[in-house]
Amino acid sequence: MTSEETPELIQAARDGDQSAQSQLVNMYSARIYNLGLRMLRNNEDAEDMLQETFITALQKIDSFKGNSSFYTWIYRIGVNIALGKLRKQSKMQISYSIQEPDFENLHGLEISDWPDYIETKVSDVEFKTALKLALDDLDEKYRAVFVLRDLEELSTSKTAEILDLTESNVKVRLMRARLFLRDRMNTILKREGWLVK
Amino acid sequence: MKPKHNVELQNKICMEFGADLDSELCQEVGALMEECPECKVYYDTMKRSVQLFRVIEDECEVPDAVSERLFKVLELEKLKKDS
Repeated sequence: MTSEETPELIQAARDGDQSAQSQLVNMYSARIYNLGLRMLRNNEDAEDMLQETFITALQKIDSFKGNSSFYTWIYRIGVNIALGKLRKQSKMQISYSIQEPDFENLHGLEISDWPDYIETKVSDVEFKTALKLALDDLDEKYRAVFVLRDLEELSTSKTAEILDLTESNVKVRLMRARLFLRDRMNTILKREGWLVK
Repeated sequence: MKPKHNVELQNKICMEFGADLDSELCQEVGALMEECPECKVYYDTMKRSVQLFRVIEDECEVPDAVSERLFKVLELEKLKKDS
């Protein structure tokens, strides 16, 4: 079995070769599933997104023109499906919406340094859970940018293109996401008594 | 400890927070922060938080049951990855 995406493999998948289609699923399901987990924050929604992405991709494979890699093409399908789900969740959660952090109020913040050992605490289950909850609480419009830029490590221009935003919008949202997460982490560390006075 | 912000510097920092953390631009901003120790602490802790989130959000394998259901819904035969 090939582990690389080749024009022959794509053509075979397009022609309905089930073995080729299975190979594409094997090659990309982990990356799409992880994207789903990062964006949607729970296993069930990530699995739904994974299935919908491959169903859509295999149904529309004839429209894949080869202008980008197959991975880029299917990745974009996955992001769009995840965004659709996030928007639905966002609508359903209106009455429980999270207060947007006061990003502009940096001047009034107390700034304490973090101790060197923080990085060793990530194996601590409670600490890890607290961090994951912080990411869960990040508003979806900021989370999508943070996931694509900082976790999936896409460029600003690619992120802007996929999310249909301007590059400056991506930068502003990324800054806000990072500040929100930094401040949430600071709160967690303060609660644990781990901050350097 | 209250940050002593230079507004111009802060605006620059805020704009550059959106750039790649390891980019040359961010490094320059980092150097500028030597002038503002509190800003530097804030910036450094933000960088560290991003790194920590990268660690906890590291990629995982697709669980077997999830993979089985995916192939089933696609009506495809699951291939062994190392076959």
